[in-house]
Amino acid sequence: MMVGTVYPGFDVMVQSPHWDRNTRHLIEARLQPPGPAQFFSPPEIALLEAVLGRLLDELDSTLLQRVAGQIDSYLFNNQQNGDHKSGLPPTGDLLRKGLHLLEANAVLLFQRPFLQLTPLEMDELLGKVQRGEVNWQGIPPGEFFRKITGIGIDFFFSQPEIWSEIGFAGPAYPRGYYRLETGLKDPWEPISDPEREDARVAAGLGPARRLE
Amino acid sequence: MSQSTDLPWELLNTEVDVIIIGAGATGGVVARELGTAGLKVVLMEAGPHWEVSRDFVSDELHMRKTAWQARRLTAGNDPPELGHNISGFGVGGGTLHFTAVVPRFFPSDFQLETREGVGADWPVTYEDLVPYWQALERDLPVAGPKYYPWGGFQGPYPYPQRDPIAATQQILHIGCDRLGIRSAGAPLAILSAPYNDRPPCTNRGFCAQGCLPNAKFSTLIHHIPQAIKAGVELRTGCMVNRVLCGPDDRVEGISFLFNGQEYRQKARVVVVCASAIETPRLLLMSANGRHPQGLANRSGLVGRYFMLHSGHEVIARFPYEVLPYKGTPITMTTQEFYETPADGSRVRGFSIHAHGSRPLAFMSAVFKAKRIWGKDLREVARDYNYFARLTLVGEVLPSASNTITLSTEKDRYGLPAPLVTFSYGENDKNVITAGVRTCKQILEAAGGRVEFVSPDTSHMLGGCRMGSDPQTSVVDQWGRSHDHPNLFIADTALFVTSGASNPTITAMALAWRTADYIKEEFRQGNL
Ligand SMILES: Cc1cc2nc3c(=O)[nH]c(=O)nc-3n(C[C@H](O)[C@H](O)[C@H](O)COP(=O)(O)OP(=O)(O)OC[C@H]3O[C@@H](n4cnc5c(N)ncnc54)[C@H](O)[C@@H]3O)c2cc1C
Ligand code: SF4
Repeated sequence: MMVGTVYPGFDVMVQSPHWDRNTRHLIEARLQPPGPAQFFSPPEIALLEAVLGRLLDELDSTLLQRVAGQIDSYLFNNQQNGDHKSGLPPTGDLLRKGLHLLEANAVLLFQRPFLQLTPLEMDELLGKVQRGEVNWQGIPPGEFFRKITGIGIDFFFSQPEIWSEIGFAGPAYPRGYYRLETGLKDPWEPISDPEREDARVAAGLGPARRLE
Repeated sequence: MSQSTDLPWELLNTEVDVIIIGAGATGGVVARELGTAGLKVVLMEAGPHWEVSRDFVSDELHMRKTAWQARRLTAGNDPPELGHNISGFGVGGGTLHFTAVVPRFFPSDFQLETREGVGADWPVTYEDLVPYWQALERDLPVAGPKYYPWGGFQGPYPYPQRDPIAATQQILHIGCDRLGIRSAGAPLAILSAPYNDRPPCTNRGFCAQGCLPNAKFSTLIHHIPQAIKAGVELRTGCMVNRVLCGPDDRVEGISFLFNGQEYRQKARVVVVCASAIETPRLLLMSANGRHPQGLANRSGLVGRYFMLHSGHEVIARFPYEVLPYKGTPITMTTQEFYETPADGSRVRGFSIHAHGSRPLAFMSAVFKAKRIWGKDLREVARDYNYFARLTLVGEVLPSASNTITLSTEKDRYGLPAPLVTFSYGENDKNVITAGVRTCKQILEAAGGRVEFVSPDTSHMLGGCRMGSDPQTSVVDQWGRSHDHPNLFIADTALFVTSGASNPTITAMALAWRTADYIKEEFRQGNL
């Protein structure tokens, strides 16, 4: 059984009028649909969206488009993090090359482009890339997998609807928090649904079972 | 070289008393001290002059802009991640996004060779630094417990300990209690009560993104405004690419890049505060015919004995909502395992901090720990609020093969990118094993189920270590280069050993001491 969020009614954006102006504008802009890609070509960006969909287990294509678009403009603006394993190409080149090699692997393995693979086939291929079971020239597949997942995590978990889903109460300036200790909540924090908590526990997820 | 007159710097065509390179934690202290002493000072900063209300937001992703962004290469068995987690950029440097945990180093830290037969002794002692720690604890100011159970200083701290504390922090406290381990409020450069025009902390939890209410100390809001008021000329967007040295081995000034143009500035004294990667790199880049190995490098040790702390994260699931985003990220600590245990299983030890987390920090640690993705990763995310995290600060012994060198690749300034080579030694691994095991025990005792252990590092140190012997060190106990009488280093690059305390207040104490020495040398006409 699929068990989703334990915070079904929570929408972090409802609190946005309480955030400082700069933060509010930044997060609101993150909700806008992306402009045309500038770093990646249209086929590359489509591939990126599909890969992110599998890595992050997300089906909502407008959300994935936003995430891919924001990664695109990050790479286009060359905002590097100043960190780089010796011998690897810059992040953008690494991702682009990796996407092309992935596409080639899809054709080799399944005789179809990546976008036409079933989710299971996509996952199979991505698993091979992660484990280095593909023969790539020039870039180590494991490094590509780590980079694309890492960057995907950064941009995906920066989306307000994902904050709502996981129950992150979001930016908190100027208001802050007052009720900090175990069991306490400020009125604007998410409230979990006990039935959903139980359902998650039944599925082996959710809060740890209480020990004696 | 053009020295155009419409540049924004008044002192460009004069010889100033002192150039300070880097407006971070230590550069801020040196600038204020020398500026208020009446010296003519220029403070050089590669990054921008941030303005808190304009530039800071409550967002993990966006605030990565305060990390050093020019290319750095890594190698070794344990190549570290050097992004946001390691260094700062722009006025304030690392203090912009540090978590402001400021315990002192322990007395034993300064005598590792004598006491334990490892590493090297410092040319300064704990007692030498006491007046500077005391001054800084009032200056920042530091909030902490009335009684602090470890190290050379038992409190009380000038400002009261924080209360209440968030659930993650309570977990450390409860777990330690049940195991009979002492824990305490961490000394924090974060206000628990108002100070001048700064309000107390509002518990928003974004310390690692820069504090918006200015409850957290940074040199951006504290030392550097005081320095500017005293007449220090701050130049931002200026990447120093060379320290210039004359035929008599005295340094004459610097050259720097501003908007792609190179300029020069003359000075009687140069103080390098560019941090443990950039300081050695700058000295290496300053090589000339007389000093083909770089400046201050007669010993060949510039860039050697570079250290990081091991910073493993241990994450456990709890039976209730922990809400790890709330509260000052680190408020509770135990330094019970700081020194060498009686059983001889390792030399030196670690500190453990309770550590709140926002989604990106949490999810990256989860991915790094188990490399899970897809449905597995997403389901962990949906349980984000049930997890608590402890972070290790593990001592790493100095090793000559952990180095900063110049690579053949170029960074965005067209300068040789630094190559950081780092591998843990056997003892470092033993410290990590013991530290991770203890974190697990604490979390389990508090009722958690440990699910993720994510390797990480923090705090860069060393690379220009101090010492009394010019053969085995780069600078003396005052930070003065053994090779160049008017070249000083006053930042984290000086560190001889890493300790297991967050290093910044100790680095600032050393920097202040160096500033006092420079003042005195000027007064006596020696500089
Ligand atoms: C996320 C994070 C959390 C941390 N938490 C803690 C903590 O809780 N407690 C603690 O004690 N420490 C903490 N630290 C470490 C702390 O930030 C550093 O120890 C401290 O900032 C180092 O001081 P520094 O003066 O040596 O260098 P920095 O503060 O890094 O300053 C160096 C400055 O020099 C500039 N610069 C570098 N090269 C040049 C050049 N060639 N020309 C001009 N300018 C240059 C840089 O832009 C920078 O502004 C943390 C660090 C990070 C990243
Ligand atoms: S938790 Fe407190 S000190 Fe940290 S950023 Fe927020 S208000 Fe500032």
